[in-house]
Amino acid sequence: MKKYNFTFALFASALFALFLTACGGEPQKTSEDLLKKNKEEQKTAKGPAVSKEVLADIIKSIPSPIEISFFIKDLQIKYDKTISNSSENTQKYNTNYKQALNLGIYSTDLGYCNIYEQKQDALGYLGAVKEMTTGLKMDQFLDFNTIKKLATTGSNLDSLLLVTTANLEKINEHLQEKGRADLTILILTGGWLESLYLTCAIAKKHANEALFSRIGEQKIILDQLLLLLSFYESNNNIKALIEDMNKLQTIYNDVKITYKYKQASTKQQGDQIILEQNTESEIQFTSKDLDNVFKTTKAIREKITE
Amino acid sequence: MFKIMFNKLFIPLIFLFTSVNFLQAQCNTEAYIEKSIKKIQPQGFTFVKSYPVSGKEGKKFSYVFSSGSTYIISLSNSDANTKGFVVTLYDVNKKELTKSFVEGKYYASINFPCKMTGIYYMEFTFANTQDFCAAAVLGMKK
Repeated sequence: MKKYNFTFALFASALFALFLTACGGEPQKTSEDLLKKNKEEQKTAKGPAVSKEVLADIIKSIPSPIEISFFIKDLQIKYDKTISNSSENTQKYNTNYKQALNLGIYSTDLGYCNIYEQKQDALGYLGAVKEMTTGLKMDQFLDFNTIKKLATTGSNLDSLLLVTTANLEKINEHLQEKGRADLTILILTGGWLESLYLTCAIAKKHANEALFSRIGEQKIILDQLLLLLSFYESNNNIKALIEDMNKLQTIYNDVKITYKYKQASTKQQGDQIILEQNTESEIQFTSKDLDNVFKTTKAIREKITE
Repeated sequence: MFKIMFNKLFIPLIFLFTSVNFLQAQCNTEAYIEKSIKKIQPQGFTFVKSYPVSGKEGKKFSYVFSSGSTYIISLSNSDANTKGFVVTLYDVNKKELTKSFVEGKYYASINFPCKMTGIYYMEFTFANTQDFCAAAVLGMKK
């Protein structure tokens, strides 16, 4: 009987522990807590550089390049085809490393011309995006025909951007599920570099305070991307990319972001909460900073696209 | 004795354990993402990111919000008024800015004209519900 009780207690404890784990008995942690835990674990044990959960969270925090394209169009600045990467360059990109980076670049270019409703260019970039996704064996997640139809028939721009963004999100999620988050990070890096390059090229022609601020605040995103890339620095290609991106970070070290804190207020309107933020940020970004950021971004981009 | 305990305790526990996993496996966040997208489009917002949330522990995400853009965090679950699903928004210093559950009322979205660029945090939680399946989307407009 005693033996049964002991076996029963042991079995019950194990089952209960398993149940608690499955239900998330541990309190919720932020990605920073998990990152700290990961770094501590790395010191004592060999294993994956970072957990999938932490990676996914940081990846998700990177803004969509579409935001900058909207911003540029909103400033009434005309579309400039010459600054995007040529959609004819696809044959040059034969490795997964280059295909992932250029998938990011072409996705940004596709978003840029879509927002300006440049149908012919959109078709070219859509073809380039398809080639890159095929190279990465991710073309099953690209609804090419739907995007092509939306891009050419003058349909609702929102639907076009929605399908494109949703498809890219699926590609990134699938790569992470397959344990190829390195490719997701390269896609994001390529997309971000292209949006920075386009914005700098436009700012050189149309000096504008709002554009300067937008380029200056990229400092925050660069830090996030460098953190993501650092998890894969054992890869020689990524190590070289980090070295290049570090040059950009050195320039951004001179860019200061200051905050004027004030209490936020909220109001309820129908089924919405409207948040009125009174804190403001100020970004100090000079013409000299623009020259340096543009020059360095151009050099990094050339290594990727040539 | 062991047989009685097995029947009275283990079997219900095993049933509960498998039921929870089964329900989580059945959580179709895709449908809620689509539902949220449909809610933000008529308001002029462009879809930017989706946030599937399944499991009673909820989930926390971060995003770099840019000054000068207006964002919307739109929630969806099985309830028409998103009862039981809550988002709390924190600023760059992780100070709570607002949440979608105020004075006992659930709100379906948070509309946020951003004036301070930085990394913000969105914490999705469940309250007073047994339905731990939901999703949210982030939209932006100038």
